[in-house]
Amino acid sequence: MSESKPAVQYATLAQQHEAAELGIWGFLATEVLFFGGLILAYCVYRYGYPAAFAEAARHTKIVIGAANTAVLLTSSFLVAWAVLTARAGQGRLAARLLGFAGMLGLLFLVLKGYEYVREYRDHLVPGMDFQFAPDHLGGASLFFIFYFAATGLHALHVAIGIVILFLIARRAQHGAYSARYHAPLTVAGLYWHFVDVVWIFLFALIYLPGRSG
Amino acid sequence: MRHPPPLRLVLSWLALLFLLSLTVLFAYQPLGALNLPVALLIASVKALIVGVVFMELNESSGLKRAFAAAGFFWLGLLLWLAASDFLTRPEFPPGMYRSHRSGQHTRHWISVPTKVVFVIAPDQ
Repeated sequence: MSESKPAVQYATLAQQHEAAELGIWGFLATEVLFFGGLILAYCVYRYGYPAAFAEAARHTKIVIGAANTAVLLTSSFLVAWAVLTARAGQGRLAARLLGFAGMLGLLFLVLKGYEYVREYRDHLVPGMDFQFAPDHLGGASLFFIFYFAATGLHALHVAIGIVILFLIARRAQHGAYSARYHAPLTVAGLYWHFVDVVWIFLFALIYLPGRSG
Repeated sequence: MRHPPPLRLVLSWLALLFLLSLTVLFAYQPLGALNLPVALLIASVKALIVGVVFMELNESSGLKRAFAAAGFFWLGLLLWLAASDFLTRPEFPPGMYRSHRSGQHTRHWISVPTKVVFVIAPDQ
């Protein structure tokens, strides 16, 4: 890798890194609004159908949801650690940490898929023989439409993040990153942490309502 | 281990797992209307830990912090302006007063255009 010199439009590598990081933060701001639209729809219909939303949320699999939250938080921790080790020139350790974080991402998707299968068997997929208590049928089906749209789009982000983590891990393995040059690694890490943040809020909105009733 | 992780990363990770168990624990307590604010507060603290420690906002320039805050600022505008619509509607969701079981038809926005048609039709 001959990344020690900045690209032609930048005076220094530090300036190039600053631009790259601002770029990902700008992208993440658009992602906040992308998921924010879904969360707005959730708020509106939870306000409209509070009892149905509580009853529907009670049907989500909170054990899998909580386990998946722990999985993502842990993988985020590993990525944050990997970014520091790669900058310190320990590329091989960083590669292992990133690889492990990617495997945790895969575990997240496997658990999510298992959850989807159980919801399909429980007739909780709107449009596919959806069955629910008649009093809450409309509101519950809105909840589960949000559930599948939000978690499906989030799972897509996780899948993209896993690919990025493995690609970055391979480059870290070959010693591509250092204290001077690490922008791709840092940017990939920021994306992965953001996916984690989205899940933190989805977990609170999807799995926690209606548990105490 | 030859290269242990920095203590602040480990502590943040443990704090995140602790907050996860805390929010699940609180979800099962009958706090009534407080359940949602508590869940959102804990989620926000978790997001703040991820943002400040893992995403290094504590070491970032003011410009990067402004970019990070911008998305949430506009999300706040989105939720606030949308709430000023939905929270002030006389009837939401539409049709909630027209219970098919009680058979009662109270004022309902769909009924308004119907009445207009009724008034206009005899004049023609």
